[in-house]
Amino acid sequence: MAKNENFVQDIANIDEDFAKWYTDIVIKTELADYTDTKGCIAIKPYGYEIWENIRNYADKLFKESGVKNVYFPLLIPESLLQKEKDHVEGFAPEVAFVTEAGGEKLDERLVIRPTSETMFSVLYSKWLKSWRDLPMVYNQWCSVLRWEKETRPFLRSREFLWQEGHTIHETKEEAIDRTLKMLEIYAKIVEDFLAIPTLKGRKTPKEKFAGAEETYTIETLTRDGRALQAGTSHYFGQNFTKPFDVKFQNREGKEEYAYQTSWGISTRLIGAIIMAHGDERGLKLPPKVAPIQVRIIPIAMHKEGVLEKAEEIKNLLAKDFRVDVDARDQFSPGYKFNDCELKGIPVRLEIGPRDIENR
Amino acid sequence: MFELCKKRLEEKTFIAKTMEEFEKQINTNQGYIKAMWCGSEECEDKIKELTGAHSRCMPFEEEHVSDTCVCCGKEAKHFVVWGRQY
Repeated sequence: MAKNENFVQDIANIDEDFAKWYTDIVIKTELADYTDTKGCIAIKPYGYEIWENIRNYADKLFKESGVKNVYFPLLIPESLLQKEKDHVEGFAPEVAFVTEAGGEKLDERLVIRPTSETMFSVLYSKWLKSWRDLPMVYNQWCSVLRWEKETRPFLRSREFLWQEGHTIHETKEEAIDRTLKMLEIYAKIVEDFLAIPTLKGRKTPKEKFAGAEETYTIETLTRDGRALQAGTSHYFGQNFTKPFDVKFQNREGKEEYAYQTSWGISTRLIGAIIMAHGDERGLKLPPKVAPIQVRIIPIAMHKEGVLEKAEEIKNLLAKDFRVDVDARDQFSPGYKFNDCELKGIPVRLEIGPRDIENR
Repeated sequence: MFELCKKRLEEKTFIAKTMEEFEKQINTNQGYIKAMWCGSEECEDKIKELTGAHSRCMPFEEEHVSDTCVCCGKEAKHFVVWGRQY
Protein backbone atom coordinates (compact mmCIF):
# COMPACT_ATOMS: atom_id res chain seq x y z
CA MET A 1 0.00 0.00 0.00
CA ALA A 2 1.58 3.22 -1.18
CA LYS A 3 0.46 5.24 1.84
CA ASN A 4 2.07 2.73 4.17
CA GLU A 5 5.33 2.81 2.27
CA ASN A 6 5.56 6.56 2.46
CA PHE A 7 5.01 6.45 6.16
CA VAL A 8 7.81 4.04 6.90
CA GLN A 9 10.21 5.27 4.24
CA ASP A 10 12.54 6.72 6.85
CA ILE A 11 13.09 3.26 8.30
CA ALA A 12 15.54 0.77 6.85
CA ASN A 13 14.12 -2.40 5.35
CA ILE A 14 13.88 -5.04 8.05
CA ASP A 15 15.14 -7.87 5.88
CA GLU A 16 17.88 -5.97 4.10
CA ASP A 17 19.45 -4.17 7.04
CA PHE A 18 18.14 -5.49 10.32
CA ALA A 19 20.70 -3.63 12.42
CA LYS A 20 19.74 -0.26 10.93
CA TRP A 21 16.04 -1.15 11.06
CA TYR A 22 16.49 -1.71 14.78
CA THR A 23 18.07 1.65 15.58
CA ASP A 24 15.64 3.46 13.21
CA ILE A 25 12.70 1.87 15.02
CA VAL A 26 14.04 2.83 18.44
CA ILE A 27 14.23 6.48 17.37
CA LYS A 28 11.05 6.64 15.24
CA THR A 29 8.80 4.99 17.83
CA GLU A 30 10.26 7.29 20.48
CA LEU A 31 11.48 4.53 22.74
CA ALA A 32 14.80 6.30 23.22
CA ASP A 33 17.20 8.79 21.68
CA TYR A 34 20.93 9.41 21.53
CA THR A 35 22.47 12.03 23.81
CA ASP A 36 25.63 14.11 24.14
CA THR A 37 26.96 11.42 26.46
CA LYS A 38 28.58 8.94 24.12
CA GLY A 39 27.29 5.41 24.53
CA CYS A 40 24.45 6.49 26.79
CA ILE A 41 20.86 6.75 25.62
CA ALA A 42 17.93 8.74 26.92
CA ILE A 43 15.00 6.43 27.53
CA LYS A 44 11.80 8.29 26.64
CA PRO A 45 8.37 7.74 28.21
CA TYR A 46 7.24 5.04 25.76
CA GLY A 47 10.40 3.05 26.36
CA TYR A 48 10.57 3.70 30.07
CA GLU A 49 7.01 2.52 30.61
CA ILE A 50 7.92 -0.83 29.05
CA TRP A 51 10.72 -1.11 31.59
CA GLU A 52 8.39 -0.14 34.43
CA ASN A 53 5.93 -2.84 33.37
CA ILE A 54 8.72 -5.44 33.26
CA ARG A 55 10.05 -4.25 36.59
CA ASN A 56 6.68 -4.41 38.32
CA TYR A 57 6.01 -7.92 37.03
CA ALA A 58 9.49 -9.15 37.92
CA ASP A 59 9.51 -7.48 41.33
CA LYS A 60 6.26 -9.21 42.24
CA LEU A 61 7.71 -12.62 41.31
CA PHE A 62 10.91 -11.85 43.22
CA LYS A 63 9.06 -10.85 46.37
CA GLU A 64 6.90 -13.97 46.18
CA SER A 65 10.08 -16.03 46.19
CA GLY A 66 11.41 -14.31 49.31
CA VAL A 67 13.57 -11.53 47.86
CA LYS A 68 13.99 -8.24 49.73
CA ASN A 69 14.91 -5.03 47.92
CA VAL A 70 17.79 -2.87 49.09
CA TYR A 71 19.92 -0.06 47.74
CA PHE A 72 23.72 -0.05 48.08
CA PRO A 73 26.36 2.50 46.97
CA LEU A 74 27.07 3.39 43.37
CA LEU A 75 30.75 3.95 44.12
CA ILE A 76 33.06 1.11 45.11
CA PRO A 77 36.63 1.66 46.39
CA GLU A 78 39.10 0.24 43.85
CA SER A 79 40.76 -2.02 46.42
CA LEU A 80 37.45 -3.83 46.97
CA LEU A 81 37.09 -4.69 43.31
CA GLN A 82 40.54 -6.23 43.28
CA LYS A 83 39.89 -8.79 46.00
CA GLU A 84 38.66 -11.48 43.60
CA LYS A 85 41.18 -12.03 40.85
CA ASP A 86 38.98 -13.38 38.02
CA HIS A 87 36.37 -10.76 38.73
CA VAL A 88 38.68 -7.77 38.45
CA GLU A 89 40.37 -9.27 35.39
CA GLY A 90 37.04 -9.75 33.66
CA PHE A 91 35.69 -6.30 34.38
CA ALA A 92 38.87 -4.19 34.32
CA PRO A 93 38.55 -3.19 30.62
CA GLU A 94 35.04 -1.81 31.18
CA VAL A 95 35.43 0.00 34.45
CA ALA A 96 35.18 3.79 34.86
CA PHE A 97 36.64 5.60 37.86
CA VAL A 98 35.96 8.74 39.85
CA THR A 99 39.37 10.20 40.60
CA GLU A 100 38.53 13.70 41.74
CA ALA A 101 35.69 15.09 43.84
CA GLY A 102 34.89 18.17 45.89
CA GLY A 103 37.77 19.98 44.23
CA GLU A 104 40.35 17.43 45.39
CA LYS A 105 42.07 14.41 43.96
CA LEU A 106 40.89 11.27 45.78
CA ASP A 107 43.32 9.15 47.81
CA GLU A 108 41.85 6.00 46.36
CA ARG A 109 40.05 5.75 43.04
CA LEU A 110 36.35 4.95 43.24
CA VAL A 111 34.88 2.52 40.73
CA ILE A 112 31.42 3.31 39.35
CA ARG A 113 29.76 -0.06 39.83
CA PRO A 114 29.82 -2.31 36.76
CA THR A 115 28.12 -4.89 39.02
CA SER A 116 27.99 -5.09 42.80
CA GLU A 117 29.26 -8.51 43.92
CA THR A 118 32.10 -6.86 45.80
CA MET A 119 29.96 -4.29 47.63
CA PHE A 120 27.40 -6.93 48.60
CA SER A 121 30.13 -9.28 49.80
CA VAL A 122 31.70 -6.64 52.04
CA LEU A 123 28.37 -5.71 53.59
CA TYR A 124 27.34 -9.34 54.00
CA SER A 125 30.62 -9.95 55.79
CA LYS A 126 29.83 -7.10 58.15
CA TRP A 127 26.30 -8.32 58.93
CA LEU A 128 26.63 -12.10 58.91
CA LYS A 129 27.29 -13.74 62.28
CA SER A 130 25.51 -17.08 62.51
CA TRP A 131 23.50 -19.61 60.49
CA ARG A 132 20.39 -17.95 61.96
CA ASP A 133 21.10 -14.87 59.83
CA LEU A 134 20.90 -16.98 56.68
CA PRO A 135 19.84 -16.86 53.98
CA MET A 136 20.25 -13.21 53.03
CA VAL A 137 18.31 -12.72 49.83
CA TYR A 138 18.72 -9.14 48.64
CA ASN A 139 18.13 -7.39 45.35
CA GLN A 140 18.56 -3.89 44.01
CA TRP A 141 17.00 -2.10 41.07
CA CYS A 142 19.64 0.36 39.89
CA SER A 143 21.88 1.36 37.03
CA VAL A 144 25.40 0.16 36.32
CA LEU A 145 28.19 1.48 34.11
CA ARG A 146 30.30 -0.57 31.73
CA TRP A 147 32.60 1.25 29.32
CA GLU A 148 31.58 -0.63 26.18
CA LYS A 149 33.39 0.13 22.94
CA GLU A 150 30.46 -0.72 20.66
CA THR A 151 27.00 0.26 21.78
CA ARG A 152 23.48 -0.32 20.51
CA PRO A 153 20.38 1.21 22.16
CA PHE A 154 19.04 -1.06 24.94
CA LEU A 155 21.15 -4.02 23.83
CA ARG A 156 24.47 -2.60 24.93
CA SER A 157 24.69 0.83 26.56
CA ARG A 158 27.38 2.17 28.80
CA GLU A 159 24.89 2.96 31.52
CA PHE A 160 21.93 0.64 31.75
CA LEU A 161 19.10 -0.11 34.14
CA TRP A 162 18.79 -3.51 35.69
CA GLN A 163 18.20 -5.49 38.81
CA GLU A 164 21.00 -7.40 40.52
CA GLY A 165 20.14 -9.96 43.17
CA HIS A 166 22.86 -11.19 45.49
CA THR A 167 22.21 -13.94 48.00
CA ILE A 168 24.19 -15.88 50.60
CA HIS A 169 23.26 -19.29 51.95
CA GLU A 170 24.09 -21.84 54.61
CA THR A 171 24.65 -24.68 52.16
CA LYS A 172 25.83 -25.25 48.61
CA GLU A 173 22.56 -27.02 47.79
CA GLU A 174 20.43 -24.12 48.93
CA ALA A 175 22.54 -21.66 46.94
CA ILE A 176 22.32 -23.74 43.75
CA ASP A 177 18.60 -24.05 44.35
CA ARG A 178 18.24 -20.26 44.48
CA THR A 179 20.41 -19.88 41.35
CA LEU A 180 18.14 -22.19 39.39
CA LYS A 181 14.95 -20.80 40.89
CA MET A 182 15.82 -17.31 39.64
CA LEU A 183 16.49 -18.71 36.18
CA GLU A 184 12.98 -20.19 36.22
CA ILE A 185 11.55 -16.82 37.20
CA TYR A 186 13.47 -15.19 34.35
CA ALA A 187 12.11 -17.79 31.94
CA LYS A 188 8.58 -16.99 33.11
CA ILE A 189 9.14 -13.27 32.56
CA VAL A 190 10.57 -13.72 29.06
CA GLU A 191 8.14 -16.39 27.93
CA ASP A 192 4.87 -15.46 29.62
CA PHE A 193 5.19 -11.71 29.90
CA LEU A 194 7.26 -10.93 26.82
CA ALA A 195 6.07 -13.85 24.67
CA ILE A 196 9.60 -14.82 23.62
CA PRO A 197 10.67 -18.51 23.60
CA THR A 198 13.84 -19.21 25.55
CA LEU A 199 16.77 -21.58 25.48
CA LYS A 200 17.92 -22.38 29.02
CA GLY A 201 21.28 -23.85 29.89
CA ARG A 202 24.71 -23.61 31.42
CA LYS A 203 27.48 -21.42 30.03
CA THR A 204 30.81 -22.94 29.01
CA PRO A 205 33.74 -22.07 31.33
CA LYS A 206 34.94 -19.44 28.89
CA GLU A 207 31.56 -17.68 28.73
CA LYS A 208 30.90 -17.74 32.49
CA PHE A 209 30.62 -14.61 34.60
CA ALA A 210 34.06 -13.52 35.80
CA GLY A 211 34.45 -15.16 39.23
CA ALA A 212 31.50 -17.57 39.06
CA GLU A 213 31.56 -21.35 39.59
CA GLU A 214 28.68 -21.76 37.16
CA THR A 215 26.64 -19.37 35.05
CA TYR A 216 23.17 -20.28 33.84
CA THR A 217 21.55 -18.37 31.03
CA ILE A 218 18.32 -17.58 29.22
CA GLU A 219 18.94 -17.14 25.50
CA THR A 220 16.59 -15.71 22.89
CA LEU A 221 16.82 -15.64 19.10
CA THR A 222 16.27 -12.47 17.09
CA ARG A 223 14.37 -12.25 13.81
CA ASP A 224 17.67 -12.27 11.94
CA GLY A 225 18.86 -15.41 13.67
CA ARG A 226 21.29 -13.97 16.18
CA ALA A 227 21.49 -14.99 19.80
CA LEU A 228 20.56 -12.48 22.47
CA GLN A 229 21.27 -13.28 26.08
CA ALA A 230 18.19 -12.25 28.07
CA GLY A 231 19.19 -13.03 31.65
CA THR A 232 21.82 -14.83 33.70
CA SER A 233 22.06 -16.43 37.11
CA HIS A 234 25.38 -17.29 38.77
CA TYR A 235 26.48 -19.72 41.44
CA PHE A 236 29.67 -18.49 43.13
CA GLY A 237 30.26 -21.15 45.73
CA GLN A 238 32.75 -19.58 48.12
CA ASN A 239 34.69 -17.66 45.46
CA PHE A 240 33.76 -14.30 46.95
CA THR A 241 32.87 -15.29 50.50
CA LYS A 242 36.41 -16.52 51.14
CA PRO A 243 38.36 -13.42 50.02
CA PHE A 244 35.72 -11.14 51.53
CA ASP A 245 35.45 -13.06 54.78
CA VAL A 246 31.72 -13.73 54.58
CA LYS A 247 31.54 -16.35 57.32
CA PHE A 248 29.15 -17.61 59.93
CA GLN A 249 28.93 -19.87 62.97
CA ASN A 250 27.29 -23.00 61.59
CA ARG A 251 24.92 -25.28 63.46
CA GLU A 252 27.85 -27.31 64.84
CA GLY A 253 29.44 -24.16 66.23
CA LYS A 254 32.21 -24.14 63.62
CA GLU A 255 33.08 -21.23 61.37
CA GLU A 256 32.13 -21.69 57.74
CA TYR A 257 32.12 -19.55 54.61
CA ALA A 258 28.69 -18.84 53.12
CA TYR A 259 27.63 -19.94 49.60
CA GLN A 260 26.72 -17.16 47.21
CA THR A 261 24.62 -16.42 44.10
CA SER A 262 23.81 -13.43 41.90
CA TRP A 263 21.35 -12.92 39.03
CA GLY A 264 20.29 -10.08 36.73
CA ILE A 265 18.03 -8.87 33.95
CA SER A 266 18.20 -5.44 32.35
CA THR A 267 16.76 -2.96 29.86
CA ARG A 268 18.31 -5.21 27.26
CA LEU A 269 14.95 -7.02 27.44
CA ILE A 270 13.41 -4.07 25.61
CA GLY A 271 15.86 -4.77 22.80
CA ALA A 272 14.90 -8.44 22.90
CA ILE A 273 11.22 -7.51 22.45
CA ILE A 274 12.02 -5.34 19.42
CA MET A 275 14.28 -7.93 17.84
CA ALA A 276 12.05 -10.92 18.45
CA HIS A 277 8.65 -9.46 17.59
CA GLY A 278 9.26 -6.49 15.29
CA ASP A 279 8.16 -6.81 11.66
CA GLU A 280 8.02 -4.76 8.46
CA ARG A 281 5.23 -2.63 9.93
CA GLY A 282 7.29 -1.68 12.94
CA LEU A 283 7.29 -2.62 16.61
CA LYS A 284 5.05 -5.33 17.90
CA LEU A 285 4.53 -5.19 21.64
CA PRO A 286 3.26 -8.16 23.64
CA PRO A 287 -0.08 -7.08 25.18
CA LYS A 288 1.05 -7.75 28.74
CA VAL A 289 3.96 -5.34 28.53
CA ALA A 290 2.65 -2.72 26.05
CA PRO A 291 2.36 0.78 27.60
CA ILE A 292 -0.78 1.36 25.54
CA GLN A 293 -2.79 -1.80 24.99
CA VAL A 294 -5.76 -0.26 23.18
CA ARG A 295 -5.75 2.90 21.08
CA ILE A 296 -9.04 4.44 20.06
CA ILE A 297 -8.90 6.33 16.80
CA PRO A 298 -11.87 8.62 16.14
CA ILE A 299 -12.90 8.97 12.48
CA ALA A 300 -14.39 12.28 11.34
CA MET A 301 -13.42 13.73 14.68
CA HIS A 302 -14.95 17.11 13.94
CA LYS A 303 -18.45 15.60 13.58
CA GLU A 304 -20.71 15.94 16.56
CA GLY A 305 -20.52 13.32 19.28
CA VAL A 306 -17.56 11.37 17.91
CA LEU A 307 -14.93 12.53 20.37
CA GLU A 308 -17.37 12.24 23.26
CA LYS A 309 -18.17 8.66 22.30
CA ALA A 310 -14.48 7.87 22.00
CA GLU A 311 -13.85 9.21 25.51
CA GLU A 312 -16.83 7.25 26.80
CA ILE A 313 -15.46 4.00 25.43
CA LYS A 314 -12.01 4.84 26.75
CA ASN A 315 -13.33 5.36 30.27
CA LEU A 316 -15.18 2.06 30.06
CA LEU A 317 -12.09 0.15 28.92
CA ALA A 318 -9.73 1.97 31.28
CA LYS A 319 -10.92 -0.21 34.13
CA ASP A 320 -9.22 -3.24 32.64
CA PHE A 321 -6.81 -1.95 30.03
CA ARG A 322 -4.21 0.71 29.39
CA VAL A 323 -6.13 2.68 26.78
CA ASP A 324 -5.86 6.05 25.09
CA VAL A 325 -7.59 8.13 22.41
CA ASP A 326 -5.59 9.53 19.51
CA ALA A 327 -7.36 12.86 19.24
CA ARG A 328 -4.49 14.72 17.57
CA ASP A 329 -6.18 17.03 15.12
CA GLN A 330 -3.11 17.59 12.96
CA PHE A 331 -3.16 14.00 11.66
CA SER A 332 -5.55 12.05 9.43
CA PRO A 333 -7.03 8.72 10.55
CA GLY A 334 -4.84 7.02 7.94
CA TYR A 335 -1.73 8.50 9.51
CA LYS A 336 -2.95 7.45 12.94
CA PHE A 337 -3.47 3.83 11.80
CA ASN A 338 0.10 3.67 10.51
CA ASP A 339 1.43 5.32 13.64
CA CYS A 340 -0.41 2.74 15.71
CA GLU A 341 1.13 -0.08 13.67
CA LEU A 342 4.58 1.44 13.91
CA LYS A 343 4.35 1.76 17.68
CA GLY A 344 3.24 -1.85 17.99
CA ILE A 345 0.06 -1.11 19.89
CA PRO A 346 -1.79 -4.45 20.29
CA VAL A 347 -5.39 -3.32 19.67
CA ARG A 348 -6.72 -0.52 17.52
CA LEU A 349 -10.34 0.60 17.82
CA GLU A 350 -11.79 2.85 15.14
CA ILE A 351 -14.93 4.78 15.93
CA GLY A 352 -16.81 7.02 13.52
CA PRO A 353 -20.30 8.54 13.07
CA ARG A 354 -21.63 5.41 11.35
CA ASP A 355 -20.47 3.16 14.18
CA ILE A 356 -22.20 5.42 16.68
CA GLU A 357 -25.38 5.30 14.57
CA ASN A 358 -25.33 1.52 14.21
CA ARG A 359 -24.32 1.09 17.84
CA MET B 1 3.01 -13.95 19.27
CA PHE B 2 4.85 -16.62 21.20
CA GLU B 3 3.90 -19.23 18.62
CA LEU B 4 5.20 -17.10 15.76
CA CYS B 5 8.56 -16.75 17.49
CA LYS B 6 8.63 -20.44 18.33
CA LYS B 7 8.03 -21.37 14.71
CA ARG B 8 10.84 -19.09 13.57
CA LEU B 9 13.12 -20.53 16.27
CA GLU B 10 12.46 -24.05 14.99
CA GLU B 11 13.05 -22.96 11.40
CA LYS B 12 16.34 -21.36 12.37
CA THR B 13 17.77 -24.22 14.44
CA PHE B 14 20.12 -26.64 12.69
CA ILE B 15 22.24 -29.62 13.51
CA ALA B 16 25.89 -29.89 12.50
CA LYS B 17 28.14 -32.95 12.79
CA THR B 18 31.11 -31.47 10.95
CA MET B 19 32.62 -28.00 10.61
CA GLU B 20 31.63 -28.10 6.94
CA GLU B 21 27.97 -28.51 7.87
CA PHE B 22 28.33 -25.92 10.63
CA GLU B 23 29.82 -23.27 8.34
CA LYS B 24 27.34 -23.97 5.57
CA GLN B 25 24.31 -23.67 7.87
CA ILE B 26 25.41 -20.60 9.72
CA ASN B 27 26.41 -18.76 6.56
CA THR B 28 23.22 -19.48 4.68
CA ASN B 29 20.65 -19.34 7.47
CA GLN B 30 22.33 -17.99 10.60
CA GLY B 31 20.34 -19.05 13.69
CA TYR B 32 21.24 -21.70 16.28
CA ILE B 33 23.59 -24.56 15.46
CA LYS B 34 23.35 -27.68 17.63
CA ALA B 35 26.69 -29.47 17.73
CA MET B 36 28.75 -31.60 20.08
CA TRP B 37 31.90 -30.31 21.78
CA CYS B 38 34.91 -31.96 23.37
CA GLY B 39 35.12 -29.31 26.10
CA SER B 40 38.40 -27.73 25.03
CA GLU B 41 38.85 -23.99 24.83
CA GLU B 42 40.90 -24.50 21.66
CA CYS B 43 37.92 -25.89 19.79
CA GLU B 44 35.63 -23.22 21.17
CA ASP B 45 38.06 -20.55 19.93
CA LYS B 46 38.49 -22.29 16.58
CA ILE B 47 34.75 -22.46 16.02
CA LYS B 48 34.49 -18.75 16.79
CA GLU B 49 37.35 -17.99 14.41
CA LEU B 50 35.87 -20.00 11.55
CA THR B 51 32.20 -19.13 11.95
CA GLY B 52 31.85 -16.11 14.23
CA ALA B 53 29.64 -18.18 16.50
CA HIS B 54 29.96 -18.23 20.28
CA SER B 55 28.80 -21.09 22.43
CA ARG B 56 25.43 -19.90 23.76
CA CYS B 57 24.98 -22.59 26.36
CA MET B 58 24.91 -26.28 27.19
CA PRO B 59 21.11 -26.70 27.31
CA PHE B 60 19.39 -28.35 30.25
CA GLU B 61 17.53 -30.37 27.63
CA GLU B 62 20.42 -32.40 26.27
CA GLU B 63 20.47 -33.98 22.87
CA HIS B 64 22.85 -36.47 21.34
CA VAL B 65 23.79 -35.19 17.91
CA SER B 66 26.89 -37.35 17.48
CA ASP B 67 29.72 -39.07 19.39
CA THR B 68 32.45 -36.69 18.35
CA CYS B 69 33.33 -33.01 18.68
CA VAL B 70 32.19 -31.03 15.63
CA CYS B 71 35.56 -29.30 15.47
CA CYS B 72 38.36 -31.74 16.35
CA GLY B 73 36.61 -35.10 16.00
CA LYS B 74 37.65 -36.27 19.48
CA GLU B 75 35.16 -37.68 21.98
CA ALA B 76 32.17 -35.41 22.55
CA LYS B 77 31.72 -34.32 26.16
CA HIS B 78 28.92 -31.76 25.83
CA PHE B 79 25.90 -30.91 23.71
CA VAL B 80 26.17 -27.20 22.88
CA VAL B 81 24.03 -24.67 21.06
CA TRP B 82 26.10 -22.17 19.10
CA GLY B 83 25.20 -18.85 17.48
CA ARG B 84 26.34 -15.43 16.37
CA GLN B 85 25.35 -12.84 18.90
CA TYR B 86 24.26 -9.32 19.61
